[in-house]
Amino acid sequence: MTEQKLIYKARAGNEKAFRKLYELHVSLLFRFLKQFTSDDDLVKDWVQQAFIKAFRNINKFEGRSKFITWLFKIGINEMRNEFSRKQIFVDAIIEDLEITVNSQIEETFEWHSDMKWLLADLDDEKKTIFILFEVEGYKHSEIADILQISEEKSRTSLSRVKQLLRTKWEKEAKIND
Amino acid sequence: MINKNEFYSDKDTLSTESKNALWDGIQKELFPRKDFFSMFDVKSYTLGFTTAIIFLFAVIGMYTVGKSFLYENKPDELIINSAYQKAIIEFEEALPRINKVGNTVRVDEFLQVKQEELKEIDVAIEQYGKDYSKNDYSQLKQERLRRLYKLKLKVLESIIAIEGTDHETNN
Repeated sequence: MTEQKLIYKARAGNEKAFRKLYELHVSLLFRFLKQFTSDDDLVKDWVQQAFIKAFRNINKFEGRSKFITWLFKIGINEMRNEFSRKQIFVDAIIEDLEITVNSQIEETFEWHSDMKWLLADLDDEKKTIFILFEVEGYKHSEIADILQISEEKSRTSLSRVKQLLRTKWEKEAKIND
Repeated sequence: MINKNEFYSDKDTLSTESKNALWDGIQKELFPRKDFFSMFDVKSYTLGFTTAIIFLFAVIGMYTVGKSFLYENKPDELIINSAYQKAIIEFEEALPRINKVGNTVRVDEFLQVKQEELKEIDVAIEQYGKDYSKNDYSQLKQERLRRLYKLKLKVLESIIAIEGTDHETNN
């Protein structure tokens, strides 16, 4: 059964169809949200709430994006709400640095698996933009829609993140040498 | 673009148990299973029950009002006739006492004749009911009926009157 049919049935209150949608997307949402905290239970809470809200608002899902994109949006909002409630914001250590956007750096950016820990230094929004673009393959227009920001902001933020990661990575490499 | 398998580690994987546990929570929230007692909504049940009681009293009230209204509007002929009917019933109730007593042959014959007369009158009354509509309160019908009732009463009276006369002679 196609995703569209499952959504159609879930709209009519079909539990089995919604279960199928859950099975298809739960792992994807979990692993994405897991990048923002080491607390598994907290991530599970976000995921659970995201699916509950998705079902309750499934009539509002217009189908212009993929279902998983819509779920990401709800899940990210859950995470943001949680962080704002607890006032946990990862202050961007790098945020204060004056960095000019260099498109050349963005183009030549190369990911190294050891770089992942450097993401911890990023604020949540930048980290989200980076993962959504570089890992999940979303376009800036989609990211803008998910995070309710402008496309330009998404582009600029990504460029900054890449520049920062590269700078930090090079520094670390020099220290290790 | 970064390879997803390279980026996400095993720690980011959701176990089957966790998946099922998460679903249980979602299911409980979105599709709660109703047990026998939770099927009854106390508020609705109370409202429904109260409505039923009020409706019952309303029906009883309407019936009572309707009945008294009909009675009050009954034609006089009908009221007199029903009085005759009641009197006949009471007379008939007294009959078995007389019939049970050991009578003389003469009394028995008399009673037999009277019983025949009663049967004939009953047939006539019954026939009257069939010939005329039940709700026919016309004066003609009621007068004829009354005549039959009077006749029946007389026969019954004569049967009752025999008590204490031939009885004593019998002893």
